[in-house]
Order: sequence, then structure tokens, then C-alpha cells
Amino acid sequence: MTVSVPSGGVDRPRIARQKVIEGGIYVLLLLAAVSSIAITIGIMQVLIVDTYEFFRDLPQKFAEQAQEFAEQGNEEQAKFFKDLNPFVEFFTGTEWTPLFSPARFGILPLLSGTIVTSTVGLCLAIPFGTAIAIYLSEFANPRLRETLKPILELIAGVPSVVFGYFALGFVNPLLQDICEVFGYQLPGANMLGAGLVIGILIIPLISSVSEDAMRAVPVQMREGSYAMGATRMQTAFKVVIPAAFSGIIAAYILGISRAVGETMISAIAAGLQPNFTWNPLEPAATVSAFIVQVALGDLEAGSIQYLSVFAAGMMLAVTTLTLNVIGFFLIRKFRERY
Amino acid sequence: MKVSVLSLQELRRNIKQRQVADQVFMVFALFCLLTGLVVLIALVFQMFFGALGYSFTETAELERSVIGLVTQVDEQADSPAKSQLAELIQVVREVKSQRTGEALLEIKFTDQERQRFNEALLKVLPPVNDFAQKQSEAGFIDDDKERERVLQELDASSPAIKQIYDTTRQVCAGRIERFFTGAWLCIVPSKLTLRFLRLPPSANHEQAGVLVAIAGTSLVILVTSVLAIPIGIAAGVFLEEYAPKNWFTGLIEINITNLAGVPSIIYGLLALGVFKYQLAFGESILTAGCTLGCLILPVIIVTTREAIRAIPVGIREGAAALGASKWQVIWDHILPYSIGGILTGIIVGLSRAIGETAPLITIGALTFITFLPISDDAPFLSLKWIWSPFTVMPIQMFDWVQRPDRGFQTNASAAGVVLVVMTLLMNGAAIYIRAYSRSRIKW
Repeated sequence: MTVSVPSGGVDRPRIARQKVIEGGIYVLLLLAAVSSIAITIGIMQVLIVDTYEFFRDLPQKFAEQAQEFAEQGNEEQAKFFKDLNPFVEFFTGTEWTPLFSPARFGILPLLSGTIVTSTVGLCLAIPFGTAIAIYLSEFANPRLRETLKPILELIAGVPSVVFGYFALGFVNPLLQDICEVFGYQLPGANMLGAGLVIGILIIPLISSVSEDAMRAVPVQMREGSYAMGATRMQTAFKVVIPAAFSGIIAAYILGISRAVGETMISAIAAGLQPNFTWNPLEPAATVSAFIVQVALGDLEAGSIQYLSVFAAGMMLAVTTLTLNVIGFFLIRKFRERY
Repeated sequence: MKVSVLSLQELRRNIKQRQVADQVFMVFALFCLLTGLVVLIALVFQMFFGALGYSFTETAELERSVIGLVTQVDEQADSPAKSQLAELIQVVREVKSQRTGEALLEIKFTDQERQRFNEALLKVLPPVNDFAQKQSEAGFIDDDKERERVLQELDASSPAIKQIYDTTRQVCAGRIERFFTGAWLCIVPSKLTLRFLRLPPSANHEQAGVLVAIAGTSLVILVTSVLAIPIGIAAGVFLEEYAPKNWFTGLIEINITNLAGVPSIIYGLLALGVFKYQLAFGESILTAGCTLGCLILPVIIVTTREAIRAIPVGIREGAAALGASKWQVIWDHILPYSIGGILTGIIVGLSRAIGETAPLITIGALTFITFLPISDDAPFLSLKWIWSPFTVMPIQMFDWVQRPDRGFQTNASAAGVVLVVMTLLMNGAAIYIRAYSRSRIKW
């Protein structure tokens, strides 16, 4: 090995040069980190501006429709649209038909669709995900855990469009057969099947985040519990879960946020018709499925249909953002505790 | 506090009960795990078997739909198609008059009736008959022009005839020729062939393939990688090695966690509003690449940070003690040692980008594109291709999923097989790299 020794002491120009390079690199890296904020600003700007324009243009649209009805001689409808408040319509209306005439803009049908599919999904994913997390962290030996965890994560890697087709071509027909035994005619697209598949999709997320939280619980606490004669299940439920509670809740919240935002599964398997219902056996569009449906047609930038997509997206973004922020602080809490 | 004293027998029973509960829970947990795995396997099998070819005889369904249509025409008082369909109407009337008690949709033909019905139907659709004759003489004709001609002729005839053609076509998976020549037997060929990978999309399911979609996916992923990988790694390095602990760093951190949780459809809205219209990138590969780049950036940043965090501080101090500057430490030590973890993150991110559908649908990528985006003589020297329209694998699959035609359902399954294989291979590679780099490096 050759070692080069600088002759004549310190190579000052070289050090100065190095400093400039280092400074340049620092700036580049800083820019890269700040780029993530630029993405957020981009998203916020698009959503806020277009949602603002949506509410600004809505009265005009209503006025046009009132005019149309007045010309047809339908005074009742004309008066209804004339007096319609855009905010009241958006938040309490039970019809969402921006693509038809007369266009109505009540977000509730889309919200009900989203809530029902996510609830079905979570009813499956929370017990299953938690049980798997407990098993992996408290019951399985390390080798089994290291094998099973990645395999489980493969599920989350399957594209959601494939899951959607699976729901439409396998789960829904299966449910239809089951329902026929009970004499119920289940429609080919329904929220139950879509919700169950969404549940399968978020099991790995819930199990992996809550397992991380459980393993962050110090081993002494478990040992103390075993020393008192507790079984593994008692230790898991009475010691580990209370200690890792914030982390587990964070996992659930991330799961909820994922389920709420899941698009392709509900677009393919739950139907594209907005339908104000709380019955999971019926088809209904979710917020994200509506966005996909509108995008499938030709969108004229600036039209009220185009803007309605952003207003619906705003609802979705606000919901998931709130959930994510809560989840972030809960995860930080369990990380700091031990 | 009350202390209850148990007899030895009670104690044994208590222990037994608790152990049983323990076992029961374990069985439940294993059941949950198995459910997940079974679903994964069922999914792969569904895609695989759905893509295989099959043949079926849909006499009942076909007859039902044609009878329904003919009856409709018959009931209309002054339908122009009535004279054209005279013979068919006659057959249907006779059949109906013989079965007065049965519901219209439950009529089943006898062999003799079927033959008459078949002949009448052939007379209604003469161009199809010609085409079918040619097909049966020459085997399968791979001739879209001929098919186009038939369709045009049909378009020119009355809407009722067109409707009958469409119905029969749909029931027979698009192979009406087979229906006429092959005695009601419809054949859907297997799509699990190399031919499927080499063909562009087509209105005919047998000649449709995923070539353009695969090319589109590759190019979009190329743009995504070029954008997201350097920025992601740089941001991860900055946050772990340089960032001071202050409110600004905290803001970036919470922001990245948030971005990782934003639904992909919201990125689609970002693409629609910002990339497509404000920056005027249009419905191009560049727009798609930028969108997916934004989408996977948080994944790459988070995994890079985790990989760097795992390196002991002694390495940094040792290098610094030998006079290395901060960047030299990072370039010569931190990055090489954490490359396994970073690579895992990149692969997981890219595999997610390959499977994303929703954000690309919102920019309007669901278009029927039959040409490759690269048509230049020197494709990668000129960057013209980043402006060209595109389609990608998941969108192609979604397009096929939405078609009621049975033949396209096998195409959708085959596209699903391709997608699942691609993503499972990538995720498998990521798992392997993670395990390998962990087993090799011992601090």
C-alpha cells in the first residue's frame, strides 16, 4: 500500500476546493430533501385552488339549471335550484350526478360508499392483522418470523388492479353463490366483496406496523409476566398490547387511511354508480372510484365536472391527512417511550 | 387486595384452561396467516387459469338473446328491419306458438328447430357467413382488413341486424365465425403464449397483446427511476447525516411520512392539475414518470434513512479521524455499506410504481394506443419519446377487465399473470437482497 504524504505541509488550495465541493453537495442534498415539501405544496395548491373554483362556479351551474327548468315550465325544480346553497348541497345532498342533467353535487353517496367499503375491509383486517402481529411477535420463533413476514408482505406488493379483478372474478361470484343459498340475489358488483379484498390488502400493513410496535416493548416486561406464571396469550394481551397500544392504534389508523384511499378495487368490484346506502350488499361508488370514472371520459379543464373531481379529492385528502398526522404522532410516541 | 387461595386441583384446572386458551389463540392466528397465503395463492391461480384457453357451447344463452332481439323487432309495428328478418321472425313465431306455456327466456330448441334457426340467422348475416366460409376453408385468417370490411357492411345494414351480430359476437367471445362454422362451439385460445407478449392491442381479443403496454411501462419506469432514485437517496442522506434537529427538519420528516400515506389517486390529481395542465406536459410519458416519481419518493427516502441509520457511528468517526471530509465519509463508507437496504427500497418502490393504475388513469392515459412510443431512428439519443402518449400494463389490464366480451376476460387474466409475475419477482428480489446484505454485514 502506498501512502502519499503531502510535501511541504498542508495542501491549502485542495482543502479550500474540497470545502466548496462540500458546500455544493450540501445545497444539492438540501434541495432534494426540500423537494418533498414541493410535492406537498403542489398537491395542496391544486386541491385548494380547484376546490375554491368548484364552489365559486357552483351557483352559476345551479342558475343555469334553474333557467332550463324555468323554460320547461317546471317551476318547482327551477325554484329549488335557484335557492340551492353550494355548501349545503355539497355536504348534505344525497345525490351525486355531476355527469348527468340535472347535475347534483351531494358528496354523501360517495362518502357512504367509501365508509362502507373501508369498514368491511377493516372488520376483516383489524382482527386478522392484530392476531398475525401477536403470533409473529410473541409465538413464532425468530426464524419462522423472518420467513413469514416477507411472504406476507408479498400480498401488499400485488398491484391493486389485479386485486380488483380477483374481487370481481373470484370473491364476488363466491359471495353470490353463498347468498343464493340464503335466497338472496347479490348483484355482481357489491361493496362487500370489494371491502373484503381491501381488507386482505391491508392485513400486511396492519400486522407489520403493529408487530414493530410490539417488538419495541422491552423483553424484561415479558419476562416479568412469564415469571408470574402467565401464558404467552396472557402476556400478549395483558402486558405487550397495553404497552404497545399507541403503536397498534397507529397501525390501525394507517390501515384506515389506506382503505379509504384504495381506488382500483372499489372501482372494479364495487361498481361506479353513486348510491346513498349503508348496506354492503349493494353496489356503490367510492370517492376515489368516482374520480377514476370521471377520468375515463373526456375531461374539459375548468368545467364543473373537472372541478368536482378536485372537490371530491379534497375530501379524501383531508380525511387521510388527518388520519396520517394522528398516526405519525402515535408512532413517535411509542418509539420514544422505551 | 383480595387474595384467593386455590386448591391444587383448581390450580391444575386453571393452568389447563389457560394453556387451552393459549393454543386456541395460536390456532386462530395461524388461521389468519393461512387465509392471507391462501388468498395470494387463489389470486395467482385465478389469473393463471383465467388466461388459459377453453371452448364452450353457449347454445342456450345465444338462442335466448337472439330470440329476445327478434321478438323485440317483431313487436315493433313499423320496424324497417322486419322484412329483413322475416324468416328469423317466422321461425321464432313458430317455436313460440308451439310452447305457449313456457316463459320466453326458458325456450330450448329441438335439433330440427335449431337447424332452421341457424339457417335463418345465416341469411340475416350474409357478410359474416362469407367470412366464416373463408375462415373455415383457410383455417384461421389473421386478417384485420377482411374483418373491418365485414364490420362496415354490417354497420351499413339495419341497426337490428347490427345488434344481433353484436350479441352473438359477445356471447361467442368475439368469434362469431367459429359459431357459424363450428356448430355452436366457441373457442377462446390460451393467452399464456409468447405471442401475447409480442402483439400490440387490438379490437379483436385474439390479436391483442401487451407489447405496447410493456414498452410503455418500461419507459415510464425509466423516467421514474431517473427522477426518484437520485432525489430519494440524496434526501435520505441529507436527513440522516446533515440535517440539524430543528423545526424545519421536523417539518420535512412529518411531511414525508404524510406523503407516504397519501392515497395514490391524490397523486393522480396532482398530475392532472400540475403536470398535465399547469406545466403543459400533456398525456405523455413524462407526466406519468413525474407522477410515479413523486409517488415512490417517500418510499425511497424512508428506506434509505433506515439503511443509513443501521450503520454504527464508529464507522463515521473512524473515517473522520483519518481526515475524511463529511462527503468522503458518505461516498466511500456510508453509501457502499447501506447499498443493500437502499436497493431494497428502490425495488419495492419501483414494483409499486409498476402496479399503480389510478394516478395514471386520472391523467387520461386510458387510450387505445397501438404503436410503440419509440419510432425514431435513434430512440434514446433524441428524447422525443418522453412526450409521446402511452399505455401501461395495469391500465391495459383495467381496460380489458371492463369489457364484457369473454375473450377479453382471458386477456385481462393473462395481463394479470404478467403483472403478478413482474411484481412478485421484484419483491422477491428485494427480500433476497435484504436477507443477503444483512447476513453479509456484521458490525
